[in-house]
Amino acid sequence: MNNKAYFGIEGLDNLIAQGMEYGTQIMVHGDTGIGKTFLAGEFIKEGLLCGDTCIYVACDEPPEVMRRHLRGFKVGTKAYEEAQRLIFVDAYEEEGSREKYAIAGQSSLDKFFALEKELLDRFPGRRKRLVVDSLSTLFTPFEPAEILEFHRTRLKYLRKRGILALDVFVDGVLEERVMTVTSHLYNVIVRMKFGVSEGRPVRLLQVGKVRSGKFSAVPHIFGISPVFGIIFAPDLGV
Amino acid sequence: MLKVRTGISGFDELFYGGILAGSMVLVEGIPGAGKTTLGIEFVYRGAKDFGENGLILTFEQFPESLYRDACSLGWDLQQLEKENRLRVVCTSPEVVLEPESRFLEQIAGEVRAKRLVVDSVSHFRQVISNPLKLRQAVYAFGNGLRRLGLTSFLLKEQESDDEKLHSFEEFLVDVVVRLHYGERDGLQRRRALEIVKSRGQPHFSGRHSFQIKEGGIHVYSLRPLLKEPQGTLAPERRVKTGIRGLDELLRGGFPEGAGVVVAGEAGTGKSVLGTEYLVKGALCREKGCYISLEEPPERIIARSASFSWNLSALIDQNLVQIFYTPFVDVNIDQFIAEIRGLIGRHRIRRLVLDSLPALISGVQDAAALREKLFFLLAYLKNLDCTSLFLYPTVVGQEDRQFGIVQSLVQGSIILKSILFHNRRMRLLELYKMRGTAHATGNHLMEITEDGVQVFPRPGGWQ
Repeated sequence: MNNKAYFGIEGLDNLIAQGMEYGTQIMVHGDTGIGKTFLAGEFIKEGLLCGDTCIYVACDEPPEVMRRHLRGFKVGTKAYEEAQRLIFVDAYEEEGSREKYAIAGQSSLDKFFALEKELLDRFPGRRKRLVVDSLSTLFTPFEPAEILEFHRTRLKYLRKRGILALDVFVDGVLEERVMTVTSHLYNVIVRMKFGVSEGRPVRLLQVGKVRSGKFSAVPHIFGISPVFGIIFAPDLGV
Repeated sequence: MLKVRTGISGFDELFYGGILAGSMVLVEGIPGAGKTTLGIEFVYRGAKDFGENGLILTFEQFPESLYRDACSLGWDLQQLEKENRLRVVCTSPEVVLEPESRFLEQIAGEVRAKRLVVDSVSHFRQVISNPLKLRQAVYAFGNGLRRLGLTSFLLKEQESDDEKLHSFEEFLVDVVVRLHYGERDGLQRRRALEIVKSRGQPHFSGRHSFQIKEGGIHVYSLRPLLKEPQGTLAPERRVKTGIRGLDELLRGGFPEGAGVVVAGEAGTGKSVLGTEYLVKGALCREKGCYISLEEPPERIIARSASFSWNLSALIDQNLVQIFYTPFVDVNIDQFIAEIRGLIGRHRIRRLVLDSLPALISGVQDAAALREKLFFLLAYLKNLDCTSLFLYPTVVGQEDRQFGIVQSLVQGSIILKSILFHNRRMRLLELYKMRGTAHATGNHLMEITEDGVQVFPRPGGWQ
């Protein structure tokens, strides 16, 4: 079994040529509409393909949206869900969620952490990928000190258990100081933002950090295809 | 020295088994305190249960009224008289105080009396007004009783509330028992018994509650119960609450035998938590008991029905019991003594008391409260019973009793309710758990149809 993990996006994976250990925490942040959820979808698809158990916590949309998205990539979710290889957690609906796993009332980080732990502990011996899309939404009502304390404990927990975690943050939601301190806690940071190239608006992706590893920090243009997903253009660095 | 068992429930334990044979016991108290009842029961029990015939000497009541009063307590004095085991004599004090009189000797001999009650020696003052002569007469009377080998209860009306004033009779007798019948907050008076003096034998000091009810006097003396052998509990053993998340905070559960107060305002979930503690215990075959001082069992069962617990079935299987005593009827000493018996008899391992203020509200004196709580906690611990005491609090109201309770119990859980972004949230704080490295801070608590769920905070920040 290959113990290195990848995003499943050609080009981005080339930027982190050595891959990532299980137990790595990835921070993906960027503007609204830039394609963070798309990247998360690819990350899950890659996980399913290489045998990982994937947990997707949907905070900004119902889990059904991600199911549709994965089906668009020719990933039928039903079989994976029945085999408990793919688990959706509904952190979007306040009440009355029809999902098997849901957090009613997102007014407590403790409750979120308890469910996350329960799910992660439910499948011992498996390689696990966890995506929270987006963590910044969960953090909105809380004080900076509380967010940072929670973060430290949670990431420590994930690291100890070898969970490959990808947390999505929307830029501008949390205070800059919180984002700066938070980014220190992650092993890998991927920045996604809008930019301009030759007078045209473009999507840009940049690896901002790979702790103890080599990486290329050059921003690259990428596009989103409803059929092929994220199309990375490594040679078109700006 | 030979000891005489009076047979009065709880009384003999105060003297480590009974009073010395031949003692003169002065029983004093205000009207209604229970002097006559105590005296008559001493004689009645002697004749009925210990083969010691008795003599009742009364200066104010006719025998008929004594028979009637005794009958209401279940004592048939006339039957004992027919069997020549008892004699009730209504006479005047002059007759017994006359130096040359052999009245007492004669009548005690007729019935072969071993016990005597005199109701009351206060009447001697009506006969002899000179204090010195009165003292000499009473002294001579007492010597006469000793010569006859009688163990006697001399009843005396207490003339003043000032306990610092002592009558000369107190110096002459061997034992002084004072009966208190004081007012307290609320509607009821409280009876208490205190041994002020006991010459030649040790006794338990302090005031001990007593009641007069069917069957006679019951003294609820808590201290002697502590002589019970210690339980088999080991401090490292844990009692799992079964409440999701709480055992994690407790690092495994309550220390076995601990007394834990669960405090919080109305609606914070105290009763639900308490009930679930018993239900989860019962599912592990640990017997539990819910003692309610405010709500009748039907309401507790009905409330539980909204959860996924079948409390009625557990009651049918004798795994959970509910006892209801309206708090207005509760005497704390009696309650503590009875609860101890109940826990021991039924081998109950989990107790929930709802609520503690209802039990202790009548004890205003801080030292007395500490003492009673100490006994309650000690008995439960000795019986390996791990107990939750529910304690409703009121915001902004200073509660001196709560401070005392918290200082004595082994653990303290505080339930709270706060508004967070216009949402009402319940929080649980494990404030204290002696001997346990527990998690601190506030933790989210929810009440679902499956019961209470606590979400331990990952960071442990306050």
